[in-house]
Amino acid sequence: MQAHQYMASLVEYERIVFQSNDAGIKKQAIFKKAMVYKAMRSYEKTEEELNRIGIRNPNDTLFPLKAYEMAFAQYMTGNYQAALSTIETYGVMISGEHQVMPGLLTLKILCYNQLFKFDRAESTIHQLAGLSNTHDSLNYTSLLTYYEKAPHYKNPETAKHLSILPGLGQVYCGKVFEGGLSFLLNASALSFGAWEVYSGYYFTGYVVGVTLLQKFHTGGQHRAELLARQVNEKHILKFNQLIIDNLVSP
Amino acid sequence: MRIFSLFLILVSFISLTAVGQNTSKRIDFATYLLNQQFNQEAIYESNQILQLRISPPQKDSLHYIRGWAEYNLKELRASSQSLKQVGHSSVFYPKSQLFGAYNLIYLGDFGKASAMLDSFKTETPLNRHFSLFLRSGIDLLQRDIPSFRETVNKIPADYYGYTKELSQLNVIADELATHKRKSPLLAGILSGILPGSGQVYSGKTGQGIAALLLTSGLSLVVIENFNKRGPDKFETIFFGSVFTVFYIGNIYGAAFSAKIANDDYNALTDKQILFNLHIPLRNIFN
Repeated sequence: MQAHQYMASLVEYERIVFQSNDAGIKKQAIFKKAMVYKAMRSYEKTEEELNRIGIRNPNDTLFPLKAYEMAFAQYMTGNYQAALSTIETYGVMISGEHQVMPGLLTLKILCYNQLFKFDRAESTIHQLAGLSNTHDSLNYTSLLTYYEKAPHYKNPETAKHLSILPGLGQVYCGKVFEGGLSFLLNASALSFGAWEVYSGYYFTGYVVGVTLLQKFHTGGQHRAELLARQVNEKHILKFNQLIIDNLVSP
Repeated sequence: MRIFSLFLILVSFISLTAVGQNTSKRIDFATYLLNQQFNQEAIYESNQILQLRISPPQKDSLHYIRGWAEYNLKELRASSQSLKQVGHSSVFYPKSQLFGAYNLIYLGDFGKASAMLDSFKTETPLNRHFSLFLRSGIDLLQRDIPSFRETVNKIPADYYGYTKELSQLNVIADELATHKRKSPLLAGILSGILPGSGQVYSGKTGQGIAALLLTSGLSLVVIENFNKRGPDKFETIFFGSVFTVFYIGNIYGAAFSAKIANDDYNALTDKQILFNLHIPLRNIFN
């Protein structure tokens, strides 16, 4: 039923675009249409619709709203870099007094967090705290204390290279037990091969030892790389949730 | 009283034309939605208007709009159902029937596609030729080469709309006539004699070499253990079992690779045929 009504409102807003001769009303209708898509959580479509609104004049009331919703949609689809560049290009043209500014800067902080650029996130918090129209009850600077315990970025490439010594990449990602297991598997394959060769069983040692070692070793490297990505995602999600909780409900 | 009834008739006439105008405006809007690629919206609006009392030509337009929007969204079955309902007098009739049939061909529903082409009232040579052109495609997709040649003979080969594609279809037909499918049995036997050779026969050379290396490596391990440790030792039995599993599994894999090679060939050919059917339709009727 709800989906049905969403579709009806999408069509009605588009009908206004089709029938109206007033450019301002057309823009309003497209903006509303984008907000229907936002309510439907179709953020790609939201962005698509917002892109149809051509506004050059920063004094247009729709200008800052478009900027915020655009950045929000890009943030929700995981295009943090794109969201940041939207905030950057539109932000310079919007007055610091404008009511949309705290929202824009908040999004900017969350985007920088997602990209592990904590120093820039912190300077954005300072900027946000300096705005005149933010909530007085919110102590923005208290947020800065959380950054002392911000998660460290685990470089997947580094994790992979560290795993040249089996298990070290996993340890780097904080999984000590898994790293130990990986080391043991590799070590046993190697020692089995070496022992067989030493005992005169050359083919057995070579074929079985090398095959197993190769599988365990490349497998371990891939695993460490994947682990780094997963750990990053998990950590930053938790950290951003902490920041959001403290921003939204002081 | 008479004046009053006259007044009533006049009012109802005006309101009727007003409704009519309103509907045609709404159809314009639905067309706009379709042209702007708002396909979901176009389907919704068409369905809304179709519930009103409208004239048959308006119904035709709306069925066409809905069908084309569904085609854009790749909802091909729904699309062919909508397009089928476009009436004979509509300007969109030939396009609708041909694309409706094409959608069914794409879905592999050749029976329904043929039925749709059967009921297609072709009045111009162009429409007749295109109907036969699609039929030749159905023949080819069903791998019925004689029937394909027969159908192709009924259409002029030099019509600019599909000359290139028709000759492509002929090339595919020649290829199909001479193509030898890979035998899973032969691939299995080959891999039984020399591990990996079945995969090479099926065209998967890399897989074949990998299989050969692994199986021969394992066989060396078994031979070594058999000679040095003796046949009744655990290691010999263990490696012997592993080797057997790999050896038999490899024969099965070779047979399977022949089947995959055949499936791949058929899928690729089907794709080429559909492509060659689709391009002329889009060029001439879009």
